[in-house]
Amino acid sequence: MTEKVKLTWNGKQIEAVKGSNLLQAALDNGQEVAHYCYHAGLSIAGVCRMCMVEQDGVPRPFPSCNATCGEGMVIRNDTPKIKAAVENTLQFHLLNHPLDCPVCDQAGECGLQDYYMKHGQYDSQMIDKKVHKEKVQDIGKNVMLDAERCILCSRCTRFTEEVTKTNELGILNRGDHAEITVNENLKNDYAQNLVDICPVGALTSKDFRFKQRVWFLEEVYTTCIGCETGCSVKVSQNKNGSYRVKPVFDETVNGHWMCDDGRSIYKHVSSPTRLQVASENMNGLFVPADESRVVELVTGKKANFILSTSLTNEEYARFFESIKGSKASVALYTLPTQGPEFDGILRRGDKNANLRGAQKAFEAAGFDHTSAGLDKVLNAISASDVAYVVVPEILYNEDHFNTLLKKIEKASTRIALTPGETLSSMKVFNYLLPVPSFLEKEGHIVNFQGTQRQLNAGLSYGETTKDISYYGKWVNV
Amino acid sequence: MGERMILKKDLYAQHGFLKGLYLGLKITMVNLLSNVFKHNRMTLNYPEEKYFYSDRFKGKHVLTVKEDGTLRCTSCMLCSTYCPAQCIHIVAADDSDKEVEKAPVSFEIEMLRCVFCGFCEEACPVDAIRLTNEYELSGHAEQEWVADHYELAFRKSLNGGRGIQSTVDDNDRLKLRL
Amino acid sequence: MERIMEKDTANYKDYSLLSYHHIPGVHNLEVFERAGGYEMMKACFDKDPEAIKEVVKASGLRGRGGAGFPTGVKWGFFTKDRNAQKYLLCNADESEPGTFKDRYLVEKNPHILIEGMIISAWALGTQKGYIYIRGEFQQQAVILERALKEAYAKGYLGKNILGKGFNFDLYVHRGAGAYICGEETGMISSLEGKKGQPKLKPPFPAIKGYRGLPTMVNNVESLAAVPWIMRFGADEYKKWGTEKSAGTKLFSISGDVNKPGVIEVPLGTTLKEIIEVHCGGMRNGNKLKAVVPGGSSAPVFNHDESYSVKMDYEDVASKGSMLGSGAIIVLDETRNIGDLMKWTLEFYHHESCGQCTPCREGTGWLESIFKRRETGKASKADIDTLDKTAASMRGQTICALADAAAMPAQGMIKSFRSELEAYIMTPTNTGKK
Repeated sequence: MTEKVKLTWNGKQIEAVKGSNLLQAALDNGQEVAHYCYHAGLSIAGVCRMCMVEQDGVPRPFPSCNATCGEGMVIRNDTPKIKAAVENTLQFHLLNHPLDCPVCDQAGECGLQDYYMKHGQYDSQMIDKKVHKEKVQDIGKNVMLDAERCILCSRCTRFTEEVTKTNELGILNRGDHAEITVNENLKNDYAQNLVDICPVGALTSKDFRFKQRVWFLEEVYTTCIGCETGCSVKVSQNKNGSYRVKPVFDETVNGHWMCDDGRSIYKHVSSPTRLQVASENMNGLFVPADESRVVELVTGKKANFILSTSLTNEEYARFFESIKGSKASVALYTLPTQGPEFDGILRRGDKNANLRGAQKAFEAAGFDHTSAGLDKVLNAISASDVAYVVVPEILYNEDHFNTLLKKIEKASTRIALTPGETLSSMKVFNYLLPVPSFLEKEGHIVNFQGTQRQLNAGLSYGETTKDISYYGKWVNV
Repeated sequence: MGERMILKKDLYAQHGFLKGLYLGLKITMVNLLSNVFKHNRMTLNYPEEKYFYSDRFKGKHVLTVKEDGTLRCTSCMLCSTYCPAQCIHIVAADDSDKEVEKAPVSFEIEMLRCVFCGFCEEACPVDAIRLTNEYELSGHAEQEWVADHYELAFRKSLNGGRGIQSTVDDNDRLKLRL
Repeated sequence: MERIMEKDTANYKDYSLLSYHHIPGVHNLEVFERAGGYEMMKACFDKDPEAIKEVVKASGLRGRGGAGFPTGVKWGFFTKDRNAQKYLLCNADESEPGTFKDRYLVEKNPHILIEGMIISAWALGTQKGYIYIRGEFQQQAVILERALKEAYAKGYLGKNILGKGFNFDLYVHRGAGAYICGEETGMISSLEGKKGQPKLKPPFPAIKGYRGLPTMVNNVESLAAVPWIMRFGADEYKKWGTEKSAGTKLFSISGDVNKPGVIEVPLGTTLKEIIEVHCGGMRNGNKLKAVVPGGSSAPVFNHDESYSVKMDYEDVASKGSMLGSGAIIVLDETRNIGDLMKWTLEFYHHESCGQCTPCREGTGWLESIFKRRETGKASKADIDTLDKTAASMRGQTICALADAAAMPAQGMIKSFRSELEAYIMTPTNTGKK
């Protein structure tokens, strides 16, 4: 049982768990505290000196990140003394910071900019030579380092030390010559988190570099479909496309982080080679075709559906509803395991985002979801049949998928329902039909823990409102 | 309204309305006579004669260049963010020069959408975009109205096609880098 | 004990720490023991550890490293669980500019420190101790290591000391010469093999220190005073000094005096007496201009303040400075305060560990503001900027280095403003760029 205590923050009563972090308690209660080095997922460094507070009965101001909540504490951070201290400390932060905002990707979501607008001393007194450090360093794993912009909050070094335990980053030198350096290029699979936790533009993503200014982007809060973990993520997008994936704090599943593999799940959604409209195979070239031709072709033939594991529970339910009463046979294609079963942090080898949801739906509809069931359906395909294959959204292992495609070649009519790009291996299909990607549909998936995870729709690109149940209805025509 | 009426009444009380009438006619007469006798006419025989606007005029845009002839623009997108007509389109990319770091690979202004407000000029942190006193903007097809960065920085009218050089605060920056 | 007392009564009456220093070869264990060394250690093993702590507490001994926190009180915070793993560290990283008392003590008489540490270890129940000695003290480290070897050979250190069932291992660890490793948590970081950066407090080292275990860090001088206090009792020790600053203190005097060096005088001795009597007056009869009373981080005293101050923790603090490590730097009128300021700021800029922002950026900026004359950008208002910047650094950082840089700067501005203004407005040879 966690004991709650009451304390006063700037004259306002707030409630917090006894012994919990004071700064976090204030933030949780909607109080504003400037901070750089504090991160809830990392240890306490207490070096940025921005979160200073005063407590009644304590002679000196102290950093709230290194204090714990106690009953009846009277804390203030709006006194003139603290305000002046924050102002001065911010001045020190900005003293040697280069004026890179125009070229810096962090601009718009930068801690220095935010607090400068709130607490800044607008007149610079710095007429002296600034300290220069190395800029534009590629430190591997899609991370770019600009040592000059760094405010040495040490979040990144603590991340590599405590979370990934790989220790690639460190702080070299002393005083104002101290800088973040790599002893070797980043090698951990969570390196992109460094970009997220960097409060300034010192660590930026090479993938996102100069693609968009962040103020042009809006976020869609959804769930990663990269593996069965199902991390909470947000995807930044605008009308021109999707640009990046960032983790969202979720205590139950991913905490503060996500893996690097998950960072690229957005790429097929607004890719120029994304299938937008129904297309027909013309000697290896896919050209837009009318849907009615497909309907004509499939009418009266036996349908064989091979579903993927990245669809939502709702889609499965709607699909089985749509084929009810028909003779269609349905099987489930599961992605092969990739890498170790669990890497100790978040990433799992089972890449089937919604395997549990799919199994449940198959069982409810009376179909076999096992690989034996898949083999049975594949073996039973005859030349007069129609084979529908729902292409998995994230294909880690294309070869494995190609072996599946080999087995459906028997069917005279082969149709792919694809939410992503057109792959070269798709030439076996007669028709390609678009289905919504994970970013274009609402629904739920069930992750490895068996919990329901929400998918949310963002902007849609192309003709993507027709999900698999729309095509499922054709069997009854 | 009432206040203005009172003011006018005061004026009439002081000068009478005839004085105003005479003053107005005086300007008319002076201009009439000077046009007739001095040929000091406001009307020009355009396009043989051309009017030169002051440098403050907000005409066609120009992208300034650095001493080495490359664009000053760092593609910070502030102009395109600030632009009320949303007519500026920039595509940024890495620059091989680490000091520059970011530079535009494409900078386009849709002239037909531009309202020549000059906000882009004000938003620019590096004096990369200016509005000039060029006012002769005409063209046929729609394509001619999208000005790319060659047009904006190196068109013929600019310094013999060499672009306008700007060194605003460059020296200060270099001094600090010493 | 009686025998020794007869022989050296004079010294015991005048000195607690330097009482053996006149004996030739006292750095040898044999000589030291003949002069009465290690007797107190043997006697203390029969005493209750808590009683030893009480005596030290009653003596009013204050930490001689600089902060002046009562040693006995500090020991009181330490865990009383004798079986718990914990450490006793001796801070011999004497890096404050102007201080050389610990070096002198270790060099002349390393055994008094070792004896003090064994008694303290017994009192605190620590089974492992480290002497963190500054990297530059090469010779002193060698002397200490030799002394340790002797003590081990005698069975004063190691397993089951003198058959009392008490284990105490003592090691010498050489630092790499960073100023900040003289700060206790910085020293612990360095000892752990990390970069010498102070740690966030709380938790204090007494609760969570070296390797996350309870650790007691004491200065060389504090630990070396323990045997004397145990021998003659707290009351005898308290006879020296003032009510709140008990005992004697080593002062390292440098600068423009005739006889610079280390002296031991009771706390509360006037600075005038120290300079005129113990140091033989000012060099060449020059007029005294300023005195740095407690190492480079202490604000300076001007002429009048210097001659009125009594060297104890309270009186120095009441006059706006601090006793610190007792490093007295005397400047005569031929010296320029600007040079002292420049040198001080350069030093702290160089030594800032770079952890906390106000210190990391502030120390560098203080130096560049003060050196604006080198680039021809100086103006008289710079002194105000300097003062303001220094003030904004104070009390904002994990350790006291930011304060240590800001305090002397502010002190010098307070006392010698016009001279500093003249200094910064004088262009240097490097001239304008």
